[in-house]
Amino acid sequence: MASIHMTASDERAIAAANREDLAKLVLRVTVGVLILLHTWAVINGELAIRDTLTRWGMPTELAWTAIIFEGIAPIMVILGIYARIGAWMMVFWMVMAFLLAHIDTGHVFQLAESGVGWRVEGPFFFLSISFCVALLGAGRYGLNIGGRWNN
Amino acid sequence: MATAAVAQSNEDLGKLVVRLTVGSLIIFHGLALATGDMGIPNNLVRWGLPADLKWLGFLVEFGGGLMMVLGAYARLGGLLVGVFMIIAIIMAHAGLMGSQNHLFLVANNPAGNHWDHYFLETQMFYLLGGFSVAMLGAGRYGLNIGGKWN
Repeated sequence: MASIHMTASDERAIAAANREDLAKLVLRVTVGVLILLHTWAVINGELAIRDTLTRWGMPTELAWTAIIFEGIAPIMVILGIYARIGAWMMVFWMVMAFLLAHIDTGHVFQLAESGVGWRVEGPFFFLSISFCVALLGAGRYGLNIGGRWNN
Repeated sequence: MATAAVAQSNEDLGKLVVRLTVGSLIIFHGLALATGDMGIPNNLVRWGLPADLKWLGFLVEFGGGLMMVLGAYARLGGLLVGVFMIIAIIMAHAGLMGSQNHLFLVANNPAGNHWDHYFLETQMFYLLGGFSVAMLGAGRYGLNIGGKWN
């Protein structure tokens, strides 16, 4: 497939770009698929978000916005449809999670109950890997819809 | 030119955020291991291996994490963490040699009142995050030590 005009350094540059695109795909699929399980739980009546809303005097129905911010958004991220926008939506969602559930409760200053690792390791991964996808873009592997808002 | 420069610095910032996240979070696990956490030693013993091999794990978790955070041979650090997590999942989470099989398990939330996440969620973040750093490289923001391995 390589043209006879391609030099060794061209080939190295292409291999490097392929690796970058693969890494972007890996990050997108990881953060997207893992958060969809949380969303499925919210849809099925999981209480954590609803309890938090109640604690702040907000209507529990707001939990259904999960369908947008951790349902539609990660699907955009996984498929590569305006992935950067989807990722910013997930960032917003996780910032709200930290503000409402993990800062005033002191979780951010604690180790996990097992004593191993940071207590909010999971939420923080979702926050920061979403942020990464927003900054890095989707790369080449995806539906590639949305121009510079995707890649 | 301005847009290209912004895109490039966003790219470098994204690489920095992955490195800092995966690297600094796993350093906590390395410190726990060094200060007496028995998770890894127990697994080693179950596999008939010397518990002192845990110091290899410490080297990967603490050293590999530090390499990613600083940007010193960051790709190598990411690769070490990724391979280490594969070994950890095989030894502790795959139903082998008396461990439970967590590969297909959806787990309860911390309150214990509803299943809500993949059991190996954080393991997967470390595994795939580590390999992502290995593939992306460190970008511009860091010590920039290690040439193509950074």
